[in-house]
Amino acid sequence: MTALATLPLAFSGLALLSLSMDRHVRQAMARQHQARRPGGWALLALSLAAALLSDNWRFGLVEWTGIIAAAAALVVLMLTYRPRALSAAAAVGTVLGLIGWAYVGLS
Amino acid sequence: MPHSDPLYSHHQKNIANHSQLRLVHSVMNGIVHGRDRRQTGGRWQRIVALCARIAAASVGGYGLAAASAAFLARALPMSRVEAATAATLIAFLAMPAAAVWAFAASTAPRALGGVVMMTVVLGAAAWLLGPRP
Amino acid sequence: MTGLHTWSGLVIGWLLFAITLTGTAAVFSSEISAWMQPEVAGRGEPRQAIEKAVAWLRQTQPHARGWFLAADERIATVHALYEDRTAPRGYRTASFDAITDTPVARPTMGGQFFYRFHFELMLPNPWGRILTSAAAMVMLIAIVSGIIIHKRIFADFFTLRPTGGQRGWLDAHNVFGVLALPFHLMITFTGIVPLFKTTLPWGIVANYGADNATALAEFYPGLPRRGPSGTPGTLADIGPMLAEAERYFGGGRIGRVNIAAPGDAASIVTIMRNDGDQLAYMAQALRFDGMTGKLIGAHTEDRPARKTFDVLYGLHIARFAPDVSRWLYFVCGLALAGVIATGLNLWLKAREPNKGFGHWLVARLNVGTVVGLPIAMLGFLWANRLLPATYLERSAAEVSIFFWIWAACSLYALLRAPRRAWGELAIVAALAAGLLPFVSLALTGRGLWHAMDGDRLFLGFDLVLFALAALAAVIARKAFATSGPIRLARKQEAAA
Repeated sequence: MTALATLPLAFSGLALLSLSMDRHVRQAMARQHQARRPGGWALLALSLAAALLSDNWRFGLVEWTGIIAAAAALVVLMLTYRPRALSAAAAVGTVLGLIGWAYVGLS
Repeated sequence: MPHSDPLYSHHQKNIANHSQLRLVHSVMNGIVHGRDRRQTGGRWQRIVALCARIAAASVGGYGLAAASAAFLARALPMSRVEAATAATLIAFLAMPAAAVWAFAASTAPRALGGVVMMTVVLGAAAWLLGPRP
Repeated sequence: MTGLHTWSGLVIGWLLFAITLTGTAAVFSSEISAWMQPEVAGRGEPRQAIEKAVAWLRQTQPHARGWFLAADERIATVHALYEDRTAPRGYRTASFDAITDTPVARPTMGGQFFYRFHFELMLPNPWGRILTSAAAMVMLIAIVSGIIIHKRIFADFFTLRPTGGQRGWLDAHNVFGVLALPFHLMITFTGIVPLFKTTLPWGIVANYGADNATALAEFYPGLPRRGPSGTPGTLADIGPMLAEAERYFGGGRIGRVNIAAPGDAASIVTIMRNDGDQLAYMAQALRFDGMTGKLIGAHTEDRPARKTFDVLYGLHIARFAPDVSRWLYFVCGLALAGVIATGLNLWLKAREPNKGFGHWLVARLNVGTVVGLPIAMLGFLWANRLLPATYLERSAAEVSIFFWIWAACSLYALLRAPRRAWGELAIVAALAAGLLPFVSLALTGRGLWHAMDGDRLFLGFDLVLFALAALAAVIARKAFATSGPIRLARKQEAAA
């Protein structure tokens, strides 16, 4: 169940990356922050780390490429239908991801 | 029509008058728009040119893959079975490469000629190497 | 390059949609097979199921040239395949679990039908495989050319503007394509690679010529080969061989068991490791002498190029995938089907004001394939429930019904205006998916409502069917909303 960590972290990372783009920050009616782009990449790296630290890193890596697609799809859906909630969702995702990390017992 | 294509005019505005940039620009332009820069002439010539490109991408692409597989299977510095396997995996990539070349090359003769030449060279090399002991 | 992408995509679009959708369904072929054989509940241990299967085969098929048993990765059912010249395809299957002595399961191809259709279209060998490989290669070309022409690939990464016009469809096509791009590239390339012996054997030919025996021996070293001797012999007890295999696999599971020439003194038992244990396909194999049960050969693949090939094969058939990964494969497969369907629709939208014969034909082929194929797949499941379990040739009949339904939907789509056909066929699909759980419950006694007793397979299956019904209903609503009086009113508004 590594997805409990990888999916929320990937979602938050991609959400931040999308919000670092002018087009989408306007959609979300939010302000621009310089920390968003590095923050987004950091969360993505954390998500990948969770995948590689799982029981079987090979299976984990394969699963992670699919998790990224699923997380990106969620970001796209939010941007299309609930753009203003995206920043908050990114924060929630980060917390859920860290909880998931602890729950799955990754080191 | 390139000049009314909004993507094309975007390119024109942003290209600096720098010779290297212009070269990269014209190559990318050629890849995206795939137009025969030196093609003149009527309908039949355009049809023949298109058929040549399609042939280069399909039949030519397969021939290139076959020749690549044979050449690499004999040339790669591994055991017979390993080389044959690696050669097959790599050779499959020759087909999309040939297809992209077939439609990105600036003229149809270059498209077909390029693929045929590579196929002949690799095939000859494979034949010259001879079967492995 | 745009032309290359558009035309290569169009020419093989319908075939690729069929290959993609059936392949996506095949992710769950184990569950589909289990659903289609409700008499077998997959109880007990696979090893005991194998022993039951071999015992039955000893009794009933002693003179077959070979018995081929496959232990399912997820459900403790073993499917045995044996030669039978009276059968339409030359072989029959029988399914066993640990408590089945005589197979009672209705004969059916099960989920394997979607798998087989996916890679050989039920055409004779090698034509089906050549056709699907060619289509996959064109798909690879379409994907690569699509990447080249998508200039704003990063800027547009998260962009979806569902306006209903051409831009909206292009956004959808791009989103389905780009978000799961690693999957699409991987699944296409890994789909082409395994069929190389049919499609690109020249590497083998260059190194081995026509000497297939040596090639086979070098590809799978350590596994002795011998033909039948002609003298009859009795097959040893299979249990100890299975136990030794499990010890050799270090706690790994048994996957396939092939018994060559079972009634002969020179019989050979090959036991292969379960594909669910690792990424690589057929990672380990053992050979036993059939009469004595002694181990005569073993092979674990660790050569780099061979292992790469096995991993690529394994990535495609995804037997390794645990639960989350399987659903991701399924969802990404649906996304790929979405790429193709939106692409086919885009071709129409881009030509909209000038509608020639091409537009007429493509619009109708689109409906017939994108809605007709799912209806046919559901029809295959309906046939499984409606045909009598004792009808001997029901397996072939289920397949025929699939094709007849697809043909009927395509004909309907050809004769009906596309806007109406989309809505009407989507309603048929919604009903076919939505009513199936009830019909199945009535005819088999197993269903969603028994999930409390631990029958989770039907729970999952019925829920997916309801979800598909909902999707079809949404599509029907959208199709009817943009046709008829509303559309006419909008046209009048636009003209005013």
